[in-house]
Amino acid sequence: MKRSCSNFPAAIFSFFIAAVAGSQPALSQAKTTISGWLRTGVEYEYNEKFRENFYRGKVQFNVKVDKNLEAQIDVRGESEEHAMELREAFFTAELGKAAGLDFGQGKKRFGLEFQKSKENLLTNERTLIYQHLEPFGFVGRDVNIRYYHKAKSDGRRNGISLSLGYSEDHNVTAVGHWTRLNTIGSFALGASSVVQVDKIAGGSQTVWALGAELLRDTEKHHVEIEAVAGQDPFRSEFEKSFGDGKNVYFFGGKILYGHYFKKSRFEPVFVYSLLVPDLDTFEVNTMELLAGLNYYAASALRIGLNGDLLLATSTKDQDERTYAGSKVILQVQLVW
Amino acid sequence: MLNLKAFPTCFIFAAVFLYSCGKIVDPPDTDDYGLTKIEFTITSEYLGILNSMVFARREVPARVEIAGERRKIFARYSGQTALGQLKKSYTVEFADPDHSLNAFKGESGFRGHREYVISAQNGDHTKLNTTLGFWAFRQAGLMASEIEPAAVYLNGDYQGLYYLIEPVDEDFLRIRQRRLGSLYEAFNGQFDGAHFSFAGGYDVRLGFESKGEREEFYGDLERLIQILDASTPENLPARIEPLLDAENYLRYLAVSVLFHNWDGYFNNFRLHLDPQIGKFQFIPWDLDNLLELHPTRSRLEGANELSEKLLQVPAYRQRYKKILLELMDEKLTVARLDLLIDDTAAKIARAYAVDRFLTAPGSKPLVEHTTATKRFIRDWYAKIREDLRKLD
Repeated sequence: MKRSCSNFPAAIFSFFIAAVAGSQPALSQAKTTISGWLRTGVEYEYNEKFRENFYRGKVQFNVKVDKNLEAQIDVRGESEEHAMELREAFFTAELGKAAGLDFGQGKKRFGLEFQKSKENLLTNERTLIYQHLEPFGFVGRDVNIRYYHKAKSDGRRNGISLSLGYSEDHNVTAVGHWTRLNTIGSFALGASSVVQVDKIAGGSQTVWALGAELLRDTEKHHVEIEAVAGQDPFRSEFEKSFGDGKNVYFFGGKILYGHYFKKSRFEPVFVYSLLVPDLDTFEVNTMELLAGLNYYAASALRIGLNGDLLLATSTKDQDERTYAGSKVILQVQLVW
Repeated sequence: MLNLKAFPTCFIFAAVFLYSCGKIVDPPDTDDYGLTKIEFTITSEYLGILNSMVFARREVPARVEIAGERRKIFARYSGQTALGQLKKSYTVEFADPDHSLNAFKGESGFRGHREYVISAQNGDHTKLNTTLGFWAFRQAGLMASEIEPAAVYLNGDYQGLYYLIEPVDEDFLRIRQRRLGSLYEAFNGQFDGAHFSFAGGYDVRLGFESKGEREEFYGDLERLIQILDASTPENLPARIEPLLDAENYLRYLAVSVLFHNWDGYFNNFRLHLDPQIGKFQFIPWDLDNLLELHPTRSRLEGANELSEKLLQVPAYRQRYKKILLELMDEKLTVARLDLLIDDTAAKIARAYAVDRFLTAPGSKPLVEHTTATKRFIRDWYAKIREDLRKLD
C-alpha cells in the first residue's frame, strides 16, 4: 500500500536529526548543498505494444552538520509513480584520511556498478548482471552501517568498504568491497563479496556471492571487466523446501568499453555480458549485447542512446536464442 | 576521427553479435494452459524493492497483461501467510487514471474493480477448495467473491496456478448495489484472531481491521460484542437482530461447517454493516484452508463465541438445522459438488501439471486430490446428518 520507503529508516533518520539538533546548537547554520539529476526519454521494448516516455528525477540534500558530520537525503520520483519517495537517508561521520562511517538507509555496494551513482554509469540502465542481482537483495538499499576508506591515485592505493545491513523482509546482509589502484598496469583490481541471511518459510538460509573486477578509468577510456558468481536465494530456497535441498549457483561476466572523443563529445559504449542463472544447466543462459552512444552537449547534459539486445536460451530450447526483453532507450540526462 | 584503439572492441562486439544473430528466433508465446493468463512485468529495481519490503506490503509500479489487456498497475505482495512463502500472492491496483475513473462509475477498471487479488492460495494443495468454497457460499445466499483460476507469469517465467479473486471492498459492494458502511476484516493477531467476546480484556483491534467508510471506527462492532456478552438465550434475538443479520450468519456457519472452514471462524471473514439494511452481514474470504479436519473446530456447532451464543437459542438452533439439511439436500448436494470438482479439475489440470510447487517430489497428483476431496465430502456429510439427529 505504501509508495514511499518504509517508515523505519525515516523514523531512525528523524530521531538522529532530533538528536543532532539537540547536541548541535549551530545546526541552523549547517551548510546545505543540493544536487541531483533529471532524466527524460523514450523506451521501446521488443514485443511491447507501446513505446513509453518517461521522466525521472532525483534531488539530493547534503547537510554539513559540522566539520566531521554530514547528513544526506536522496528523494526521487518518476513518471510511473507520480510521487516522490525517500530513497536514501544516512549520516556520514568523517574519520579523516578519506575514511568515514555511514549510518542509515543506503546502498548495498556489491560490484562495480553499485560503487557509484546511477547517473555516473555510461549506460542508461544497469547492465544484465546487476538486473539479475537486484531481486535477490544482493544490491539495492537497506538500513546499514558502513565503514570505508577510499583509494586515492595520489596516496593510498587500497580502498575498502564494509557494511552490515538489515532490511524490512528480515534479511541481514554483509557486503564488502576492496579495490587496489594501478595493480595490472593502469587497471585497478577489485573484489566484492556479499553474505546474506535470508528469512525463508520455516527458518533461514545463508546465501552469498563473490565478484572480481578490473577497472580502467581515464579521461578517454573506460574499461570494466567483471565476473560474479554466487548462490541464487530463490532457486536454492525452492530446492530446500520442495526439491533435493541442493544450492543453485549462478555466474555472470561483463566487459564494458567506453571511449570518449573529446573533440566531438561523443562517447560510444559497448557492453557484452553473459548470465548463467543455474551453473548446472550452463547452456541455459542470456547474452547481453549493448551498443550505446553518449553525446555530452554540456558537461552536465548527456544524451544517451542504448540498444540493449538480450539473447536468451531456455530450458525448452538451448539451440536458439530469443530476444525477449531487448530494448532501445533514448535518454537526456541533466546533472546538477 | 575514430581512434584506432577502439576497433578491436568494436570488432569483437560485432563478431559476437553476428554469430548470435544466426540463431535468433521470435520468443514463443507463453502458454495460458486453458486459463486466463496474467503476465506481470516488473523492472529488476522495483522487484528488488518489492522483495526487500515484503512485510511492509510496499507497492511498486508495474505492468500486467491480464486476459489479453495490457495495463499499468501498482503491485504489492499480499495475503497473511503467503508473505513469508516463496510463492507469493499479489494485489494489483490499476493505475491508469481513465480506467480508475471508469471503475468508479462501474463501467470499467478490471471487472469493475480498482484493485484485484491474484492469490497463490498456498494453503490449498488441491487447488479445488477456492472454487468449491466461494461457490458454496453463493449457493447459500451469501455475497461472495467471483473467482477464476489463472496462469501467472512474472517477467516471462511461469509462476504457477493462481486464483483471480474479487476483493471485498467498496467496489465489491457497489457492484452488488450495496453501499460501503462499516467493514471489518478478521485477522489472526494476538488473542488468536477475531473474537466476539470481551472476556479476558479482549480489544477488537487485535483481531479486526476497520476498512469501512469511517477510518479507525470500531463503535458498532464493539456494540455488537457488548450485546452478545450481556445477553441471555432468552433475550438475545430481540437484542441482537437490530444489529446482526442472524439468518446470514447461520448460513455462513452452515457452509463453514459443511466445508470445514476452520480458518473462517476467528480469521479471514469480512463483517459488513450495510447502511441500507442497518445490520451486520458476513462475507467469506480466503478459503484455501477448507476440507481439512481441525482438532477442535470440525464439529456441527462450528466455533467462535457468536456461533456458541446463537446456537444456545432454540429458534436459531432449529433454523440452523433446517439450513444445513436444505443445503445438503438441495443446493450443495454431493452430486452437484462432484460435478463442480470434476469440472474444476479438468479446467486447472494443465496449469497444475506444470506448477513446480504443486508437482514437487512427494506431492500428490491432482486426480488423487479429486478422489480424496469427493470421499471426504461424502464421509463428512454422513457424519453431519448423524449429528443433526442429536441436535434438538
